[in-house]
Amino acid sequence: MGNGPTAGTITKNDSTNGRGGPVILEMRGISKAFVGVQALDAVDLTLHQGEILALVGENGAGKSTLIKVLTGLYQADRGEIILAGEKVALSSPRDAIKHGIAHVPQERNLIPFFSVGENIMLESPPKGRFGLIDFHAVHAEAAKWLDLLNVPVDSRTPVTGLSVAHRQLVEIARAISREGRILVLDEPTASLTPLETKVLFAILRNLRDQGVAIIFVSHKLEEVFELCDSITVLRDGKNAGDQAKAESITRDELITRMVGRATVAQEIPDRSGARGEAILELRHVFTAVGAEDVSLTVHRGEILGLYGLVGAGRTELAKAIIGVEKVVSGEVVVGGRTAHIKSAKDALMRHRIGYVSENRKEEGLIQILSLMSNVSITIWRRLQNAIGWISGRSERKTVQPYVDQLDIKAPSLLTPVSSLSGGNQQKVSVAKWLAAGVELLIVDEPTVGIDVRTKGNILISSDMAEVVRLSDRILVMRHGRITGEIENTHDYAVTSDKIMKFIH
Amino acid sequence: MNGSLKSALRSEAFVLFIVVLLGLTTLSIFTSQFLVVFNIYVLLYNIALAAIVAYAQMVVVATGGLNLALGATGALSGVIMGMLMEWYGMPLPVVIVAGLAAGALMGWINGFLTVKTGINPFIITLATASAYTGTTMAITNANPFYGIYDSVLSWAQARTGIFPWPAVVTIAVALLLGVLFHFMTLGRQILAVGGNRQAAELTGVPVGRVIIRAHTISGFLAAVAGYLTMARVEAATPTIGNDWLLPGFAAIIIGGVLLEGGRVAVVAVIFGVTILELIANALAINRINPFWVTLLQGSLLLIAVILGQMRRASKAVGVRDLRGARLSGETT
Amino acid sequence: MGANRARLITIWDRAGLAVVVLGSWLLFGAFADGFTSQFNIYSVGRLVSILVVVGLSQMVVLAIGDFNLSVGAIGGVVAMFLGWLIEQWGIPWPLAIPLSVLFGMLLGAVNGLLIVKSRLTGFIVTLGTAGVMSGTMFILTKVEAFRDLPSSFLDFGKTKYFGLFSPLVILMLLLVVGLFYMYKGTTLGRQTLATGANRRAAEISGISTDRIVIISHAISGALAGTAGVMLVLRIGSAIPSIGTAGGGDWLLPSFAVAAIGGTLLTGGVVNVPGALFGGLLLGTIENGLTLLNIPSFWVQLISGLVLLVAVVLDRARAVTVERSRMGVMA
Repeated sequence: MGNGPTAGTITKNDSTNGRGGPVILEMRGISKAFVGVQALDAVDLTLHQGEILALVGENGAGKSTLIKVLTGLYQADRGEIILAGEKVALSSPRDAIKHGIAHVPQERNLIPFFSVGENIMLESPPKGRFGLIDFHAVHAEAAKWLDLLNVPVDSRTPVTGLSVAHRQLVEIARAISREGRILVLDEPTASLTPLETKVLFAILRNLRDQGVAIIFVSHKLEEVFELCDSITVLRDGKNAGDQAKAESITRDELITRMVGRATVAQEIPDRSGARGEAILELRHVFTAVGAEDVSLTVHRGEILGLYGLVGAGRTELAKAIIGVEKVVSGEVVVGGRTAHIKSAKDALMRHRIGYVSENRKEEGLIQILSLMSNVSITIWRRLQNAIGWISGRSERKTVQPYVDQLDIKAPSLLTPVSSLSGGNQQKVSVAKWLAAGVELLIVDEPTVGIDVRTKGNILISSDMAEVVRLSDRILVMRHGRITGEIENTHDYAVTSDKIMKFIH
Repeated sequence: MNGSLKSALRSEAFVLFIVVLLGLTTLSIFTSQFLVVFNIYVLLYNIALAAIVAYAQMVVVATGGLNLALGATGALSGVIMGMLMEWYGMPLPVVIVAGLAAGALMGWINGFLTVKTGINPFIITLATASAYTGTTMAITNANPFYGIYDSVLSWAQARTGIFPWPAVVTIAVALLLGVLFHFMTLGRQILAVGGNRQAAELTGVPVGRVIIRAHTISGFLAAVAGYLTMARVEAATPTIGNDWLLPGFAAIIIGGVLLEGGRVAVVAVIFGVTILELIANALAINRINPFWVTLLQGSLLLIAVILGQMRRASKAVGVRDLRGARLSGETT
Repeated sequence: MGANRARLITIWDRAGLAVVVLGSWLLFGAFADGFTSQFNIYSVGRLVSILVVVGLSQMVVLAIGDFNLSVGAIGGVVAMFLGWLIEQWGIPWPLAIPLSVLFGMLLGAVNGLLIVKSRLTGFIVTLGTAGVMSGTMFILTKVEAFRDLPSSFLDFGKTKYFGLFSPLVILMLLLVVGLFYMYKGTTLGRQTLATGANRRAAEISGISTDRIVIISHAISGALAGTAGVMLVLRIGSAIPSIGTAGGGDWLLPSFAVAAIGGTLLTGGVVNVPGALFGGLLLGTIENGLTLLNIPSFWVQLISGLVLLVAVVLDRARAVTVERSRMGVMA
């Protein structure tokens, strides 16, 4: 590996001799299946030296699985990976690193008690006498990369003291410092400010111009068009169309490929007139997990959209509403009366509030249980008979209507929920709240459209189009605060513009 | 005051040091038999032995695992060494090397099984503990080996005033572990695996190999403790290590080592050990029922672990996020 | 391919362990003198019953994905409590027994409360409480056993139904059936398994996971106490080393019986009939080896090895379950 950045190369975007080089990576016919689910089906991807390739697709399309195959975490069932003309087997992350593939994963992966510098240099820290780690050199080297990315943090700081955005930048620094030939970034701008994103993009362009090949996974389409040279789209585990040059495809075409159908302007009933009473009110609420002075109201019959980028604190706010996280000060008013919600059980039983988690697989469902159990989980107590026994028949009778209502596709009620598709899993996660008869349902980052209305809804989303399509009112959230409120006219251009103003 | 001195004063080790000082002062004032040369010698010897046991557990806990077979490893190594001396009269260097190698091997087996089967090391070491104990019993038929060489015995009794010469071993182990965990790649890798296993793996750390090595070191140190115990009690008995489990954990937790892994504390553990041994010593001097020791060790363990938890809860952004918490929606 | 493998695992699940137990019976029946005698079957019955209940006491905690290291300590404390009630206070034993079991439940509940309040794992908390409980018990009893139990009590302990079965066996079977149905179709049982499978998801779905933790540990304590009482009935006196030392340390068997029976160590899946067979297997081995005059420490060794083998084989099942537990992600 190299010696770190030298002054001359990173200042101006003037050298283009590295751009658009020969093919460095080919993934051909990659297939990967898990228990009951075909995550990838004969996927192809081609990457050139000196190119930034965007990998896009909806949640559940297979992007992360493909990345995990490329970075050695998974091994494909079928297909081959050809690196610089040679077929390779990437049997572990270590292997992938040895082949020059650097990866910034979507979730944070830092060593908690280590310093920033040590995290950056983790794989191969400089050694001194007797083969012992030379920490002076570690921090000197790390400082160079931190400067490059404009991170105002001392290399010796333990990473536990860093903000979310800085942690992401530290991981990016780690990947870049490897100076590999392929750099894979999975949602790298998730927690970054626009300014930090700008700096990152400048560096990525520079790296590209020097011949590095970059894969950029993102669902922020504006960024994709701003930064990337070419685009590959995945949908339901397959390629959706051929790899295309960014210039040759429009945003609408891209969305069509991602979603699989032309987005039709939908008839959304105009609800701006009638508005019911407030079923939930937050008054100057501060939470233990970052919400600051949040005040909002959800009225009967409305869908309140809560828009924000990842890291804005929407999920944490939702979790505070249902009692899983703590409300430190301020008032929560449910149905006109002040409420102290101490747990999700409290929220459900006493206040009839439910929460469909964004993390369906791990928080929203219990994978080893059946479809039926996952729907009935909220109503077991209600289903039990005089001696405390829950009969299979009464359970089936109670659950089936909800399965039908949401059109959940499964071989039987007893199918393990793990073998259902992502979209169906989400429906199951919603069904259990319907079965419980909730009045206010908070839905966090739905991947499939929710056609259900309970008495009131909060829709958390970072998908602008979705929020504009579905919400009656939109709140914009940033860094734990509500920065704006918009009455939705369902006119995408106008509303998205207003939202963007509140985001920055 | 410069930065590092300030942080040293605020560290957990310092707090424990103060507790130790207080304990010593109290005991010296209230118990006449405490500040006697022989008693301090016995106390230091106990600390030296207990420290190695604590270190043996610490190395594995650093990876996020644990070693329930610690006592059984110490016993079997001790018994092997006793057997080589009493039955075969082998030269001492051979005996020591064989015993330590046996301990290392037993540790290696624990690590190997843990990594290859992916099963919780709790269960693995629970099972191997009975396997090792069974082997010990089979060799000794429940009878201890008494034929320990005089050279070993006299070394075990050697002292200068209050300082027992075998404590040099403990000091050496402490120094080596300090270097290992602060400056050596293996040590940092052990901490990385314990701190965030996924991150370590993704960054190319050979997680499996590191865990096996940590267990091997643990077995080796258990054998060291077994040797020292055998030398001190002048017999290789199968009961060595029977009571190593609770104090081992209590000491490292008081010392600030985290059970989930990722953190060691070479100096603080010594203080933790010292506190426990001071209590035991005080009870012994005052002829209090020795079962109080178990009771107090259990209680201190609980208190230490709950205090540690409270301290962690008060810190703002948790370690939780760093260990791969999702910041955005689900993905496949 | 995956479906066939899953089916094989299910077949092994149902029949495999039973086959092994049967095999061990045939083996010992052939080679160990007196194995099939009436007296021996009676003996094995009592031995197995206690082992199974010890295993069940660990199983109910494994169900929530936790460990209970104080099963032996609770067993010993409750045993001594029983002796104390009968000898010291003259309480009639039909009353003293349920009181003692309740005391065990109380101790378990204390474990659960500590775990919930401190937000720590059961492992470290029960390691501490085991020390506290054992230590306290040894101090209070001055390590003296209760050997003067009333003859009606002793007679009950020696009862033989049909010359073969001890009341201990009946009790054990009742507990097995009860727990089986609890986990199959009661709210408490299902909520427990949900909590063990995925605590976060269970919590968000409105289950009071703290309550489940406390209840599970309380049941564990009650079962451990029951095992202690059963052992007193079997031996005829209440001795302090029950559960920890002389009576055989319960730690290994509690895990062995549950794990061999198919209860996952990671939580969310229990196998109650499996625990029965696990206890049968270990009890048979212990009894058979004794009859063959093999020293007792071999039993410990073999138990450890059987545990290892069972858990390794079990891993195949666990991997499949783990995969589906996390959905698509491995």
